[in-house]
Amino acid sequence: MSDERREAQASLYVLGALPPEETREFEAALRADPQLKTLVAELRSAADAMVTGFPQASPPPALKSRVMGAATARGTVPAAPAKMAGTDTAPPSGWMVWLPYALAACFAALCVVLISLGRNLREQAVSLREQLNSRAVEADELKSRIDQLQSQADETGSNYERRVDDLRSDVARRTAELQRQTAAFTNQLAREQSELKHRLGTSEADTARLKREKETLEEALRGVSLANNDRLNNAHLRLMRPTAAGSAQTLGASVWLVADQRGLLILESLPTLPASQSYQLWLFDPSAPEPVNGGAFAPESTGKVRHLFTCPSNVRTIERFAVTVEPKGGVPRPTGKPVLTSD
Amino acid sequence: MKNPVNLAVALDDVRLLRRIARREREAFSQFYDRYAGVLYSTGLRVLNDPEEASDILQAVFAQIWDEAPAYEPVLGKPFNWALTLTRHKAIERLRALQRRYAFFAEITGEMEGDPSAGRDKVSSESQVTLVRNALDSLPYEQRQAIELAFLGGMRAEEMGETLGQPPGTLKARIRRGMLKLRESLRPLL
Repeated sequence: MSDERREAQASLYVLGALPPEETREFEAALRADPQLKTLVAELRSAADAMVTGFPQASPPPALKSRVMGAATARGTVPAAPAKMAGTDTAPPSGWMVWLPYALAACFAALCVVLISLGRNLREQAVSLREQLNSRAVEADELKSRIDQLQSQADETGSNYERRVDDLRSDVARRTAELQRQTAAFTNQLAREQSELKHRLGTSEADTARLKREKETLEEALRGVSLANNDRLNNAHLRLMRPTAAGSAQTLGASVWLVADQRGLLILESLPTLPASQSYQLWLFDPSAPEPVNGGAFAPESTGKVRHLFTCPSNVRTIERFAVTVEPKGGVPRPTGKPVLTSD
Repeated sequence: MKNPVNLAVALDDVRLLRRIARREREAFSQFYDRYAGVLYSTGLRVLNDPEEASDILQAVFAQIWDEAPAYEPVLGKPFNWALTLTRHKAIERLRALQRRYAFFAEITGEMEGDPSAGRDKVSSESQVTLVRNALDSLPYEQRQAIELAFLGGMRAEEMGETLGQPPGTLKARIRRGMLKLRESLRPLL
């Protein structure tokens, strides 16, 4: 039998809460086990000591006199039994002298009969007692077995409760973990969706810009009359993009026809300058010592520019185009920073 | 090792009971003065009724007077014997009144009157503090189950119906609580 069960029985025993049928079995074990006896003695002392820790009250003062009075009343020793009456009377006489002997003889005969009957009855009683003892032992064993099964059932019930509690805790923990993972996944999804939207917007902007560039180039090409393919092959066509000093909205293209020694600059969304300033186009020819003047120009009120230009010297190769802000009417060589370039 | 103070008190109590057995009123009076307070308080905690507690105390001392000649030290200390008589009579009365033991979580307060007058005359202040600390250190559920058994006379099944708990759980609580109480009160045992 487990120590825990014995400890539980011992605890219930000292508190007076062990069922009677279990008490018999426990007391039998108690008689045979000195350690269990020590445990019970200690638990009993601990239980009894509890009452000294509870709130205390004094009994009514008059109670003591009632208790002492009752003790006095109970303390009287009962009187000794009185002597049997007639023990000092005179002896009988005549036929009555034989009467006791006759009665004794009858009594002796009766005793013989009764002894014989009694012996038979005793034998029957012994037999019945043995049967009774045997049944009692069987009953005790059965009760003990029932108690054992009951305790096992209680322990099992207690174990199941603990397991159910553990399972509940586990489910709660896993549910919380799943919720946390779901929340993290949702947040990640939202972030990725936002990033994709941003990329989509950027792509759309790039697409729009490229579309505008394509339209500008097509327009620039339409503005040039080409006699044949050779002439087109000798054309230098460049996209014009704003520099850090220029307006980010400005866009355009420039073309230079080597054969014709003339060109066309087309721009959109070019900011208007003060009256004292002009935009000026420059062509960079690697063979020329300095940038070649492409002429000064001003945007329309809508920001559009369509500037047909020629150069003062022969230009065979174009490395790049650039537009600067210069004093009104233009200057022989650039003085301001480029606001547009074909780099 | 047994507490020598308690052992000396127990031996003195045994001498008192032997004198009571010889019908010495002075010894009976001394035994009453020594333990009437704690026994009355125990009856009062069980029954929560001063008159009923007084009746129980009177019946207990009547039984002590009657049965002192049959008392054998091997059966336990005189105080434990008197306490057992008190508990059993109080619990019987509680059942006769068809009432249930009222568990109070509070243990540090005093019920009425002069606290020192109610206490038994052999428990020192330090012993009482030790017992109260031991009771305070028990989890509420364990102390409740122990008290319902010890002072309410309830078995685990009956407690289970009252508290809505399986008997196995209550037995386990009682076991854990009693073992803890034994360890806390070891200096007194």
